[in-house]
Amino acid sequence: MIYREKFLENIVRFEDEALRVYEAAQSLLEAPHFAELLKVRTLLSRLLPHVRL
Amino acid sequence: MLGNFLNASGHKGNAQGFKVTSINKLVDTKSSASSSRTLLHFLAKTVTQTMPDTERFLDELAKPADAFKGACTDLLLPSPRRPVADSLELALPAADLKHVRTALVDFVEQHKALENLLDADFGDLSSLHPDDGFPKRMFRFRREAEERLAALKDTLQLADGTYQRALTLYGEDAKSITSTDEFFSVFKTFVTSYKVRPPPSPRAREFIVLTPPSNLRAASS
Repeated sequence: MIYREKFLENIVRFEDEALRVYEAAQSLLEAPHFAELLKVRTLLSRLLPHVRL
Repeated sequence: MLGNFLNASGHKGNAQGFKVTSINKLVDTKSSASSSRTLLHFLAKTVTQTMPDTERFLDELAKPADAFKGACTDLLLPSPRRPVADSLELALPAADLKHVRTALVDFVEQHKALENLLDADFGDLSSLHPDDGFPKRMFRFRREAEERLAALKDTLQLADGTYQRALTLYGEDAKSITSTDEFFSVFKTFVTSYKVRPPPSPRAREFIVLTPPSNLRAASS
């Protein structure tokens, strides 16, 4: 019975952990604004020699 | 990125892509006028002034940043000196598939041990006392546990596949990034840097100018 309670308590944590990785990775795959930001960063890096920060 | 420009004419130069881990180097590129001003300031200013909608990237990175809980990592890793049961008890919510894989293996082993125990001690149901509810509850639990373990295995595979795709999309691989925790720490660090970047000094603000390339060419000739 103790094993059962521990099992139920622990498996919830790992189910949650795997789900969070899935959701986090999915967010990165569907991040149009972040992709836009990375484009700006690439553009800035090309202009860097001409920019005075 | 500066290297890309400098090497533009060489065989290794003019790279179009970059690894996502490099976004945290923006704070290392400092202004010649003021060390308090970095390329991150310039990027943030550009975004805020010309494309404010892009700042919604902070919402998009909320879950990746939240998936990183670096401070808890050591407690989660089972070690030879720490029994698996203890490591599971100590486990804190963090998102690393390595922990889930390890835990799943342990769960399956423990479940097999439970099955053997139930078969050995309660295999002959006719010999049990009719009022003894323990075997019934444990047999029911065994079925439930099997279903939960199968579901966890499926979720793990789904999470791993999605994570690998994200890793590839952002120019990284399993050699450069060894754990999910490490990967998500990149976004946590960037989001934190972007949100809490210290304001540049007023003097440095005056130096934010874009020098036209034609002027540069004229100056160098």
